[in-house]
Amino acid sequence: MFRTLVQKIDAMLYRRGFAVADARRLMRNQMLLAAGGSAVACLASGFANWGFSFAAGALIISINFWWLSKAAQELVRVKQGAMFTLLTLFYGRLVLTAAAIAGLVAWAGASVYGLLAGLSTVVANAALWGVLQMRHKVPSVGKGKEA
Amino acid sequence: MRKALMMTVAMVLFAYAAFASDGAAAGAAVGPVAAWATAIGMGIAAGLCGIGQGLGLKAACEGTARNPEAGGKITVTLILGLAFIESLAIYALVVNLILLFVKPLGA
Repeated sequence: MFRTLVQKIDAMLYRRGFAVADARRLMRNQMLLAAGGSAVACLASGFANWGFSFAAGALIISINFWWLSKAAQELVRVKQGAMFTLLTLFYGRLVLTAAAIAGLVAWAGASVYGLLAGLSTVVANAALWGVLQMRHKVPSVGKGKEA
Repeated sequence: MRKALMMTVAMVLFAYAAFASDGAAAGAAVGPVAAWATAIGMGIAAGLCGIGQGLGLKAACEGTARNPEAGGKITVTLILGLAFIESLAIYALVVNLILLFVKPLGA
């Protein structure tokens, strides 16, 4: 079931323009981490303010990461005329993120610690990715019979 | 680089002087000082994160131009780097919003 979900997410991401396989995996991990973390936080906090703040932070940073990944994939191979669209997307994303966080902190009364924890899911995802990549790069110890 | 360093030191000294004069007024005008501090803090955070992102993107473009076959790996590393740098800017934004609206240091 989990594998089917992963395959469905991968297919959806590919259709949405995530052509680089590793970028697709990174985005998929972020989506799963944000969704799983939000569910756990909401359940653990008894659907209190902290859990919802975590979910809001995770949602904001996941959307932010989505647009960042797409922009980064396009930026390294900029096509003619795509520059204005990319810049608009880049700054529009920043403005929307700032407005959402300001609204949550200033007017919605969100828990600041929950929000920060939710926003940290992208850092956790990147750190996890780095650790996994390092683990894959560790050379396997031979038995001395390779030669 | 030296100019940027000098400006940062000047800003830190200015903020220190502002806080010192504010302490003499027995906390009567923490609000405006907090507003100045958040503005300066966000400016510094955004500027330095912008420099970091620009350097990263420059290196990624150069790497892809030299070795197009490594473009995929470079892109993933670029995304990770940009995400790390941008999360720092977002943390700075949240801290500044806390200082402005939650007011942990007083009104």
